[in-house]
Amino acid sequence: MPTLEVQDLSRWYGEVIGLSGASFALEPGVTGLLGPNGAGKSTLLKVLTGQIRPSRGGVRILGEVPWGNPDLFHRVGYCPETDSIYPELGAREFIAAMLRLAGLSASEATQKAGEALTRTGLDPELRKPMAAFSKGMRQRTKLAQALALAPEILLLDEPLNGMDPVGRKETIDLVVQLGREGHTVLVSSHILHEVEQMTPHILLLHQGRVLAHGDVHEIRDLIEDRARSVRLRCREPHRLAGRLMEMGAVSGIRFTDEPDVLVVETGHADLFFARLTQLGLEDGLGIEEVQPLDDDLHSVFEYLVR
Amino acid sequence: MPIHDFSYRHWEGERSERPPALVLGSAQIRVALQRRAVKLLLLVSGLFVIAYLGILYVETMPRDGLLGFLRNIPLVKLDGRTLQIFLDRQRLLHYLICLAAGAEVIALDRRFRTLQIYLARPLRVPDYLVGKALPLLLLLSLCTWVPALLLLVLKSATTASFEWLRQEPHLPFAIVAYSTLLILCLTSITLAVSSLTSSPRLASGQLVAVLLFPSAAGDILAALTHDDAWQLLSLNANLDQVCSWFFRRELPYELSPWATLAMLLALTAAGIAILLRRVRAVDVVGGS
Repeated sequence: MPTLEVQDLSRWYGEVIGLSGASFALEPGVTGLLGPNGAGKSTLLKVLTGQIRPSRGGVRILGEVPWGNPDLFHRVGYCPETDSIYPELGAREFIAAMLRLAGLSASEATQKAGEALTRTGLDPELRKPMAAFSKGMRQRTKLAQALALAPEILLLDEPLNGMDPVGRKETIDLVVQLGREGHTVLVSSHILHEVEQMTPHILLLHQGRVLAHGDVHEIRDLIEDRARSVRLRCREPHRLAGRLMEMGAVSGIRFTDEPDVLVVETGHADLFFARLTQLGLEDGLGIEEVQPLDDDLHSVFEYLVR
Repeated sequence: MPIHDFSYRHWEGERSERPPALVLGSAQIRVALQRRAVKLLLLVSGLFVIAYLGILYVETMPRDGLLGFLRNIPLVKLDGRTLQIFLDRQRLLHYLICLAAGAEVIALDRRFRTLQIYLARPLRVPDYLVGKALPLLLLLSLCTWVPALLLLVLKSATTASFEWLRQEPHLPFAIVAYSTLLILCLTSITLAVSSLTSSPRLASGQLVAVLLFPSAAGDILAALTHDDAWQLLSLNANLDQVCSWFFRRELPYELSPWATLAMLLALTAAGIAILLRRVRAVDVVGGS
């Protein structure tokens, strides 16, 4: 059952369209929110967090409308893209103050703030003010305030921005873990390979519209009007190339610098893979590796957006 | 089909019944009271109260005593006139309190972009505004109706008489009504000005300009044209007029007190309207 549903959602600012007729539903797990700058990602997250009223259409989070419904935000955590901290406060103090707004007692808020900081890899006993924090530490603090109450829904806007490689890895692992635990996590990022490490499930926005939604490999399969590239490693690439041309379903073959590798272009992926399986059974060709080159997130993104 | 173990446990502890506005307000009050300027202004306000306690003390002394002659001085008496002076003459102090404890509060949230975190919490915009207004409401109350009513209570206790109430039955209403109007008007103007910028310094400068320039302009134009109607521009003049009206004293300007009251209410409403427009999540397009 979807925990987050968006139906025909539009939001415009005067004549500028922020979102246009977006519809999708999310279930527990991690979904990557992708799109170039100005695609509507931040607008979508602000509508989902009840900060902006939709111009048209509707949003339901855990069955409730977020706009004008502050009680819902006991169950939703939001990590904004921009720095949103008081530099003179310590991280624990800041998060505890925010948790107190959700009705926690002072002691419980401090305890939960400490636990959340630990989970994001920060020392809860760190006393220095956040003004002295690195960008990565501030990101972790924002993330900690979002997940401090283990909300069912987590909306993370570019949580990896400014983090060092170790921080990125740890945060990616944390997001994956949150998804496994059953949170519904919508995480926006413009760094595709990082999203790919978090989830194969994506929501692609472009010019305010939902361009694609689903598993990245399934989305690639749906793109039929563009040839797919498949990298093959085998013992006899020239013989394999000949056999491939004979069997059809291949629009081009090129050899690479590696002597045992060839790249095949096909416009009929299903037929191609079925015949390749037959070829694989033939003696002598020695197909060792089959690697689709363009059903990664980057290729799908490039194809759909550019 | 993804596998989720649903191992997370959402916090289901007991929530406090305290309204979030009060939680936010308490934190804001603590921050305000940590400021040296605010402490100093409260101290100065306390000196006013001590001076009036002195008046009260003199009033209870026998006329033929050592310091009994002091009772013959017209202003050494706690009545409607002196209480009006008590409220009216602290105006500069009230302005300084607004400057010290209110000018920066929303500007800082805009600067540090914390509004979006607040508004994605179980907190409505009115809760946020009330929370941010609480320090000003408290501090201004501590310099206006709280000590004024306390002085009246002390007067009744020390003289064991409610004669003052028989002579000036409007006094409690005048104190509370004028103080409420002053506090609401100054608080809404201060917070509105604070919400107009993300620079705390600029907010303070703007507040000084808003509090002083219209008053100066009103005075100058009224003097040049010999027409008190220009004093409607002046916050000071409007407050003076309403204060005198509530305390049933001679009005200082040839203006309808209803017009000045309407002006003050309009300023308060304009401040609230600005706040409701400015205090929201940053619009993604437009970047306001």
